[in-house]
Amino acid sequence: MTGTDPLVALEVLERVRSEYYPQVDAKLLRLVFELEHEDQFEDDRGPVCAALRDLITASAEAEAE
Amino acid sequence: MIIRQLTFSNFLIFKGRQTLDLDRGLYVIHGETGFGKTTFLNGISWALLGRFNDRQGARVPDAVLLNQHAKKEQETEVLVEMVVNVDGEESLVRRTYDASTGVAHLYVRKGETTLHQDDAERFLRGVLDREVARFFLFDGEDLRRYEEMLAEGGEPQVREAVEHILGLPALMNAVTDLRAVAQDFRKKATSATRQEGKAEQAVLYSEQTEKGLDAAKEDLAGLEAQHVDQEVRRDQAEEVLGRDKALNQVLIKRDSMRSKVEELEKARDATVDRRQEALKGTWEDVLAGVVAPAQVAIEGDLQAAEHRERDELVIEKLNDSLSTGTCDQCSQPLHGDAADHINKDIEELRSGLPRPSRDLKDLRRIALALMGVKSTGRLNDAVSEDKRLGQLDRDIVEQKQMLSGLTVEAGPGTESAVRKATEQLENALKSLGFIEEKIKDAKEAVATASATLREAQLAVQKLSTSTESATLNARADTAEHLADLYEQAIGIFRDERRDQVGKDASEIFLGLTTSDEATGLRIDKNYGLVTLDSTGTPVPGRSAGQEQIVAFSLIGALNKNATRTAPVVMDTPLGRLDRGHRANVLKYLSDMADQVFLLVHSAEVDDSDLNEIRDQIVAEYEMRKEDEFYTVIERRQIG
Repeated sequence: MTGTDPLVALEVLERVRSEYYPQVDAKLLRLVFELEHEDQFEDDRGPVCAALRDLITASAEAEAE
Repeated sequence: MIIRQLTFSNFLIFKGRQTLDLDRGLYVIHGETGFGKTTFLNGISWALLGRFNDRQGARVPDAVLLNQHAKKEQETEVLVEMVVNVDGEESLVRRTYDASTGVAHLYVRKGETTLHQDDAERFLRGVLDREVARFFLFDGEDLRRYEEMLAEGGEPQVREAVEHILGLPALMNAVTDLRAVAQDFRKKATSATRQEGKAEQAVLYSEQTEKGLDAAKEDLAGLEAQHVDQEVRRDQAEEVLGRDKALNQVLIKRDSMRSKVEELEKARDATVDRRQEALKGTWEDVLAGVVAPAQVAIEGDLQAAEHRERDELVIEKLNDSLSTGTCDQCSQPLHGDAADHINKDIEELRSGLPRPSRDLKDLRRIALALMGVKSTGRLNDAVSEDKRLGQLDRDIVEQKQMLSGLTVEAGPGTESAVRKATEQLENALKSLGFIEEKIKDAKEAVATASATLREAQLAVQKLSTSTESATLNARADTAEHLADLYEQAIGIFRDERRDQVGKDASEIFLGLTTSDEATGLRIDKNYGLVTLDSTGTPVPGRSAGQEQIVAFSLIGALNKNATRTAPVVMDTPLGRLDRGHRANVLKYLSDMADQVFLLVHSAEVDDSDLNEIRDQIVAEYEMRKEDEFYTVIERRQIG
């Protein structure tokens, strides 16, 4: 089997988060990555940005609760 | 991605509908030169990418894809269809071109869902886009280009393509998207502060700055749209030029011939001038020829006349001596028979006097006049210029005949279309360069406006006391932290993946090379690969075989590290390898990718080569040529 799991990039992101950006929620980071990975070939970035706004809002609201 | 079924229908040399059922593993497809190996590769490229290039790098237009027999039989549809398995889900990909309408169409059914055209194209970009395709679908010539690009130092274009394959775009998009999201939250926060009725001046300034940023972004978007338009114009022109490539070649030849005729005519005019100039002096040469005997005669007469004059002078003096009775030499009186001797001398002189035709004065005048008539050599010049002129006339007639043949071949209508397309292409390329410069400036303007806005927003944020504004700013901070995080991670991810690709390429290389001296490869930032010796020192220069092995190693390493996999289709890749390297590459192929198609001709790989890897080959196919426009792909029975 050839190829590398795309999640290898998430491992790097998580490492950077824990070391330099501990204030960023790990779950939010993963959700953002999954969204960006899924939509990497989408030309119209508007819907992707809207989804990101929702993710950040939901994460902030969950934290507030 | 795995191709489970591949169908060609009237695609170039593949007449009628021909289907191959496939699975994972190594497939060897045999075909002699001109039998359709490259067409097989191009068919897969066309289905997945919607286009393919010829070996000169020019895009092959859809209009030439219909099989010639099918065309004669009034058929109009070209088709390449694939059933592909992507991440465990089967999809049908069908690309068609209707020669009667000139319309190309892509149909994709993903699982049970038929995708809209845009979604279908996006689905295929996700499977294998153009940037990535070069590492999966390639012919021997591509391999040679990789070798050049992979030499020490590499090239940025390779880096870009490699990073694409390694999954960098997803991370890079995230940075841009998150920055836009942060900006959006900040705008809303400023708006909330305005509602609050506080920090009016700061809000006003921030909103003005926002407008400035929006205007800069609009400019940038406008330029990017212009860029897309020009790319479309360029592609259209390239398509026309590609379709009329043969005609274009005729036109180029004709233009060159026209220039040649013009040059010949100029040379002819110059020759006519030179001949005319030479002819002006020719009368002198003619006259000199006529006058030459007269010159000789006059010269003789002149000598005789001078002789006579001298002798007459002597006679006169002798007569003086006789009349004075005194010697004219010594002034002594003449004695004895001296007078007799003198008379005798006078007699002798008189009898021997020359008789010139004219008197000396006349002869001198004539001789002087004739001396001015000399040969200039102009006659010879005129004769050779005349010969040259004759040759030029013959050449001009010959070239004009050929030119007239080419003019008929080119025809009047298409010529203007080709000229128009050439002009359009040149203009589009110029505009693209110009717009790219402006885009660079516009991006800088957007960056400056963004920084100014950020400062203005911070000023508003400090003065604001509303909860809503604080909440929105906090979300903007989160988005910015995420963007910063992604940016930092990109650098680390890039370095780590590059190191991994380097290690894997080195390992593959050691398995493929027959050299005892090489101990591995070292990768540079542009994915250039250097061979190392036993001391870890770079080895300067590589043999052609080694270069090819290095290219295979990188392709293998990339397939191992790619976040998206696809079949590897290689057309005639082993031609420049010696037996040892060839055997190693063949053994490695089944590990190179989940599905590999090796297209070879008999001089490249023989049965003894393949016997070594028979257990790895899933199936072999044979391309059998029925005629110039018809190749059949048949499964080969082994053993």
